[in-house]
Amino acid sequence: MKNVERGQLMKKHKTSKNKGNLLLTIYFMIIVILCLTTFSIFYFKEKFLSIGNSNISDYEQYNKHYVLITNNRDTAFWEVVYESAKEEAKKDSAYIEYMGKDLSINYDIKQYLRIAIDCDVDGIIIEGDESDEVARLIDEAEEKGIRVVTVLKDSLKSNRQSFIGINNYTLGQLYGQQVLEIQDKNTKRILVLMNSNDSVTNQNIIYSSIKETIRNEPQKSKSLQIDNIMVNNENVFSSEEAIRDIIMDEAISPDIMICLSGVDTQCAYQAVVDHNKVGIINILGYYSTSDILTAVQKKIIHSTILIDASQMGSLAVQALNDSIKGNRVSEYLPVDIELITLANVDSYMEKIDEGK
Amino acid sequence: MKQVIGFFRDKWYKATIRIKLVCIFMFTCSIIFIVNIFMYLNINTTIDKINEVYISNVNLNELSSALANVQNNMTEYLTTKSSQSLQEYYSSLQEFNEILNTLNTTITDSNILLMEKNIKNMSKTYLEITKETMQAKRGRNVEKYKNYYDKATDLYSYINMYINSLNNEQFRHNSENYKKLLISLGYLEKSATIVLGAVMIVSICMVYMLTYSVTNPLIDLAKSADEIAKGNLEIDLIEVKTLDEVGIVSKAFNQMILSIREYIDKIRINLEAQNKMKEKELIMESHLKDAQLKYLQAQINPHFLFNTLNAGAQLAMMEDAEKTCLFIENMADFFRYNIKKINEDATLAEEIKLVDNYIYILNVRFSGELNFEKIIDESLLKTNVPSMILQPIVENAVNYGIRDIEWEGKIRLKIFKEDNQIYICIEDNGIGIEESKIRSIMNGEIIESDLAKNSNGIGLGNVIRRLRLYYNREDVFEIKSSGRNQGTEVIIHIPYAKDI
Repeated sequence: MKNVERGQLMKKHKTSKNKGNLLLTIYFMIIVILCLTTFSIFYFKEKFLSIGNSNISDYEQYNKHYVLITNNRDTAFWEVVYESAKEEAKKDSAYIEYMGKDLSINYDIKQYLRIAIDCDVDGIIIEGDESDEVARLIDEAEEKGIRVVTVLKDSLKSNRQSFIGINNYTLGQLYGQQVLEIQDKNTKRILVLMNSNDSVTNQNIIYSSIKETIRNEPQKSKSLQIDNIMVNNENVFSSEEAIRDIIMDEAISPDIMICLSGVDTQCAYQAVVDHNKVGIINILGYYSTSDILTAVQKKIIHSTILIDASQMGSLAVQALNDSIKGNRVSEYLPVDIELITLANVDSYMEKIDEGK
Repeated sequence: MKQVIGFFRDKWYKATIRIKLVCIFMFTCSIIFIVNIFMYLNINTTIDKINEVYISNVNLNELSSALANVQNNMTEYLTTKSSQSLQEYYSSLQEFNEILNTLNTTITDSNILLMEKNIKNMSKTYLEITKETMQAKRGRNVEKYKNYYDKATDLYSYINMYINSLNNEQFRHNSENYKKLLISLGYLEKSATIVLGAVMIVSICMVYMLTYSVTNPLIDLAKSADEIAKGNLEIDLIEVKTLDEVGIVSKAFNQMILSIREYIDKIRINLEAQNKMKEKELIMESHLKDAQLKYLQAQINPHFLFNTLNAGAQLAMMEDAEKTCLFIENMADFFRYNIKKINEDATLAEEIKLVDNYIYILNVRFSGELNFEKIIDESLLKTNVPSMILQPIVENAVNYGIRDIEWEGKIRLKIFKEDNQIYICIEDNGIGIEESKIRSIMNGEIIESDLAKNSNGIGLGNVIRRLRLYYNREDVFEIKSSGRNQGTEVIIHIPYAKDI
């Protein structure tokens, strides 16, 4: 009897202990839930408040508004220019807008220039051309008090403050030297591809410089035939079609092809690969996207020219800043160019990867 | 902290079941309600934010339409030169200006704000040009106003393009925000669902636990009731912790158990008291009977009488009074038999001898008036019978039958065997007995006050009872009387046992 009683007593004790435990668990859970709820309330309030209309206070403010106007080709190159320009501009509390980036319609340089003038910006960095209209617009801007500098291509007739670009003559020399290196007894034709889009003057300077450099070594260049061909850019895709025609046509297909723009270089090497002319047609390219560098590595392109785009950007901004402050700015600011061949392509590839 | 818990626990125990259930329900409902309200509020905020997000697009549309109005009105004026179009031009101009003033002018690194600045500046230029155009029109300078009109139209298309692009930008930006909001909403929904689920589980646990405190007492009560039903009243009383309805029932139940126990005790005590009383009565009776017996015995000490009579017989012998001696010896034998056979059975022979003794004594008393005849089967003399059955009957016959009669009294004793039964008949020719008296004698209704009349204190009733007890039969005794003055016959029939 006593055992039974004791057993009953213990059971009672156990159940009350169990109940105590359960009670504690419940209290704990209630507290956890309250914490969860409160936390989620605050968390979401915060999240919600962060979303919404952009307040002016959320962004940095600047004093000057610059604009970068380019044509829309070689956008990778101009991106680099823009980024370095932006960095440089920040130092002087100026913001550069890349005109046309967010616009739904693509305009040409004249239209962008018109817009920029009407927007009453503080400074314009423009990829110039030879047309009178552009020159006139630049003059109008200058009259309105907007400072203008040209990059890569110059508008000589205008009153622009400065030109930042490469020395075409030096470029031609580089190309010429390359030709002399590549050429052997089988080399006959050398073709320089020119664009009706780009500055004819500039391209002519390059072309004559190439010719001069090559002809300076009469032994090597005796049997060489140097020509240029103008690709008429009626539409955006003309270069690709033109290059294809050139390669396909045996009569005019060259041994060495010199391209004066990044797009042309890319079209050329693609066409050469497609039509199995690797090694038969040598390409001297322009610019340095990773595709082109890879092509140099694969020996599809012999060499290419690298323009220091970031230097160009920062120099342009410096020139603008100086001119706005009223300082004297030099007429011409040179930008470094470098030749990329199989020898140094790897280190440049690394640089690009790092940059990424 | 413990005090607070203790305080609440006390309150909980004192509350009625109704209040408890209402509390539990309200608690869970209020938690669910709160979570719902929270969700609802946040969803509302989300929707408001979404509205905010797209309001920028709405504003731009207004700007665009205002600009269109200005251009159209200007064109109209240039076409018609009506005053109405002039008025409308000015009003749309004002409207446009108003909206323009809301646009941003600071230079920031947000492309949207920058676009607004551009639009504003371009619009300012545009408005200047339109002003010039209108002036030129009024001044009738056709060349000039055509020029300016072209400029204005160009600029108008650029501005429109900008506004559209800005619209798209805003839309894209807003869509991103919208996506973020949707994701937040999704998280909100998930977390709310989880919270709700957890709350539900906790509520169910709480309800389970709290109803525990409601149903446990009931279960205990049922168990106790079962125990009592089995007859075990010594169970522990139920522990009453709460003061609600169930607590009251438990208290009542405990009270009931105590009352039952008390009641049972009382009954037991009563019963014991009653038993004691009965015992006392019985003891009293037996003492009384004892006393009666002793009293009776005290009246006649047979040993004394017997010894005295023997002495008297000796005396008579010594005085040569032979008849006296014989008489006294008969008396001695009579009383000796009394003493000797009070607890033993006797043979028929002994009984007959006693009867002879008795008759002799009576004859001396009544000087030979008593005529006694015996017809006995000699083979039955050794039969065992209870002692003192014949003499009382004969005495009865003498006392009631033959006394006070005018003719000669005769008593006949017959003992014979018939059909395996022994018949003992005692006949007299006296006054007989009435039927009713026979019946009352046979029923044992004889008044024992007649005891005084008997010589040895043993009445007919006693004889009948003892015979019935001895032979375990009711029909062992029989009294016959033909009528008044016709005499009486008493018959005893006992079974015949061969092995004596």
